Amino acid sequence: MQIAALRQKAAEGTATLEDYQKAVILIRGDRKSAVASSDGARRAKAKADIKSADEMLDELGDL
Amino acid sequence: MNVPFPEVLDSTIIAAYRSCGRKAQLEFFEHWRSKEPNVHLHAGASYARGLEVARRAFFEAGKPAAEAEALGLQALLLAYGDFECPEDSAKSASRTAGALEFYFERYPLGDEYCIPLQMPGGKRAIEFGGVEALDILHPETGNPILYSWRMDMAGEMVMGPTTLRLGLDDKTASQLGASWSKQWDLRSQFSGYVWGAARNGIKLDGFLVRGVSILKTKYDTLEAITYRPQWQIDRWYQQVLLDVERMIGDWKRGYFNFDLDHACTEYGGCPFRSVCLMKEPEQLLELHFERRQWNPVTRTETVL
Repeated sequence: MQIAALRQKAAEGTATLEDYQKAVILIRGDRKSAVASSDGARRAKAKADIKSADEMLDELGDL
Repeated sequence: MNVPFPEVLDSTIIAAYRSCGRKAQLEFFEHWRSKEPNVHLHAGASYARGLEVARRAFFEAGKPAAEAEALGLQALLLAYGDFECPEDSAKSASRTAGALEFYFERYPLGDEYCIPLQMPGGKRAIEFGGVEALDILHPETGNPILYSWRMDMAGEMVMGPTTLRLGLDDKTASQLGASWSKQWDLRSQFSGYVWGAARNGIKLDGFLVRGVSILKTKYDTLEAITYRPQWQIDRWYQQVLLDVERMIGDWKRGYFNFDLDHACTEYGGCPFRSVCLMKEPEQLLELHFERRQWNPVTRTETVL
């Protein structure tokens, strides 16, 4: 349940303990997803191709 | 002087007076408060309420951790109410609720290593406080001036072979880092709590300060332990008495010193900055402020 909807139910006095428990789980899931997608975006941001060690050794061999 | 001298002081009032006498006079003697709601105070209070209820549910009522957290969330949202968060603030109801969830993921109730002290009647030292008489008399009543204190929690923490008794203070912050951790070692707020606890037979070694930063896209946390040897508590107490003596002197002469310096711009700026910029601020006070009196003992605010 979105927090806004839960706030509304809380104000009306109709929110149940189960609503709050589900909300905690949802909040946790959303936060972890946000962290994961932020980490992924950072990893995808390499400005240049990162060569493997073998590729770099091969280049040395060409010198 | 035609405004009463407060009968009860606390660390907030003392800190305000030390920072700027005029600010303390306007806020705690004349009880002027901005009509503009303060999102930091509101979110902070809601967050603290959530933590309190969750802790009580777990440690006093024996509820399972998940249920205790849910009850904490309920208390937080009820305390936040229908307050409208400014658009540029990270402290919306949603983000504040998220901070509570983040807190309990990082510091699970079932794995809490600072266990709240047991108190009489099956209670725990959660929102643990009191009111103590200072060795200085009220200039009007002749009774001792009172000092009110209240800490988030007092607990025991095992550190290797040692068991420490520490107060615990939860703080919300915008930024955490080395400078955040260093600011607590002389902080009067904690010295006052340790003094108050000792007056009630509980000797604390110091304080565990837990900070959670609430930003628009992430949360973070940091802990710091600050110790309070007895000589520091004694020094704190003597300084409080000197400060209160000066406060009484200012009140009697009807003039509190203006800082006119760093206090005007620290912590996002003094709420009375606009007042001090006016030669005759009375109209501005009436327009942008209202008189609300905070009672540190009952922790309620009354519109005057």
